[in-house]
Amino acid sequence: MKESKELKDKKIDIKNESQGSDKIAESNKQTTPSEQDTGQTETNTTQATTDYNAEFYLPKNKIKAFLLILGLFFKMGLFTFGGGYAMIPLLENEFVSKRKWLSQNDFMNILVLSESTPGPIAINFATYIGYKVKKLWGSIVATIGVVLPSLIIIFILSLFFDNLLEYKVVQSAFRGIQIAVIFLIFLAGIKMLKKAEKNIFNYIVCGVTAVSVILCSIFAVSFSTIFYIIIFAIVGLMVYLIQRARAKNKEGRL
Amino acid sequence: MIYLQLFLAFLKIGAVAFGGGYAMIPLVEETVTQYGWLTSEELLNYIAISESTPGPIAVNIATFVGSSQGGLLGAFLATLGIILPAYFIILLISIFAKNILSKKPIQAVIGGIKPSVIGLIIAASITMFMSVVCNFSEFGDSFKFDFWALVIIAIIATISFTYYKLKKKPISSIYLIITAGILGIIFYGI
Repeated sequence: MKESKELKDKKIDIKNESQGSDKIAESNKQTTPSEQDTGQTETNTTQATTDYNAEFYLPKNKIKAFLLILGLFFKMGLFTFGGGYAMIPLLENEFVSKRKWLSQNDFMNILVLSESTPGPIAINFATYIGYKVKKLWGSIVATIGVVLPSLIIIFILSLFFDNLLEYKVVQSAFRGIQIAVIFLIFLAGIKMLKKAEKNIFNYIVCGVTAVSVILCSIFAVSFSTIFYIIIFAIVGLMVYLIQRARAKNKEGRL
Repeated sequence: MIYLQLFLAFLKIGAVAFGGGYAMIPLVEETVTQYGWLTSEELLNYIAISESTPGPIAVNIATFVGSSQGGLLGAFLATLGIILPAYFIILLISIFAKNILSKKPIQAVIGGIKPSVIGLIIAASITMFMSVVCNFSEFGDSFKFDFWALVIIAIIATISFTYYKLKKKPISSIYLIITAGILGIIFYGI
C-alpha cells in the first residue's frame, strides 16, 4: 500500500513538473467541481476527507511552491475585514474546498485549537497549513504572507493619520468612532460570555476579574492584567487537581 | 530602547491573549498607558482603523502602535512580537504533540484563562467608557456625562440590535464605525 503510494507520488511530481506554471494557472481559474474532476482522473488520491496524508496540488518547483503559499496567504490577509474570524470562510474555501491542502476535519481541529491558544487566529491557520504543505519554511512563508498586507497598509496609513487628525471634521468623526469602538469591545466581551459554558467557575472568574480590574482602575491601584491571566490559569489547574483528587478518593472508598 | 520595549511588550501580549484579537485590547491598553505611548482615545482611534482595514485586527493594532512609536522598524518588531508566541505554539503542536490540547490539565489551565480574559475585555470597555465618555478616571473625579456620546451609543446599540433581530446575523463593525463617525461630525463638528 505504501509502495504504490510512493509511485503515485512520483507520478504526481512528474506531472506537476511538466505542467508547472500551467497547473497554478489552471487551479486559480477553476471552480470547485471541475477541480475535483481533474483531481480524480489524474491522481485518484486528492481527497478532502482523508486526514493527514491527503495528497495535494503543489508545484514541484520549490520557488513556485513558496510563491504560491505566500500569494495565497497574502490574499487571505488582504480580504479579511473586521477581525480574524472573517478569514475563516475564506480559508475554508481556498484550502479545503479548492486546493484540498487539508481536510474539513483538520480544518475544524485547527479552529478548535485556535480557541485554546493565544494570538491571532490567522497566524494559527497560516502556521499550521504552511507547515503541512512545506514544513518549516512553509509555515514561515505562510505566516509572512498573511501578515504582509496589514504591515504595509497600516504602516502607510499611520504615516499620515496624525496629519488627518489636524482637521476638526476628522477629530469630530473620530470622537464618535471612539464611542462606537467602546461599544464594540463591550459587545465582543458579551458575545464571548454567551458562547462560554455557563458554569459557576466561569461566572466567578469572569466576575472577579472584571470587578477587580474596574476597582483597581477607580482607586488607581496598579495590578497588571497579565497577573489575572496567570493567577486564573493556576486556579483552573488547582480546581481540576482538587476535583480529580476527590474523584480518586471516592473510588478508593468504594 | 523603544524597539526592544515594543518587541517585548507585544511578545508578552501575544503570549497571553487567548481568544482572538479583542483579547489583546485590555493588555494593549494597559501597555500603552503604562509606557505613556498613547492615550486611551488615540488607542481607540487605532483600534477603529484596525477594524476597518484588511487583515487580522491583532496584527493591525500591533503594526499601528509599533509604527506610532518606532516607525517602520517599530511596526515590524511589534508585529513580530505579537505573532511569535502563536507561531511557535502551533509549530510545536504541528510537529510533536497534535493531541496535547486534549490533555485534561492543559484544558484546565485554558479553562481558567478564558473566563478571565472575558472579564478583562468587559472591564476594559467599562473603564474606557468611564474615562472617555464620563470623564471619570479615578475616585474623586466627578462624573461629567458627555451627552452626545450617550446619544451615539444609544443609536449604535439600537442599530446593532435591530439588525441582529431582523437579519439573524451581526452587522459588520465597519458600518457601525462609519455611522458613528458621521454622528460624531454632526454632534461635535457643527
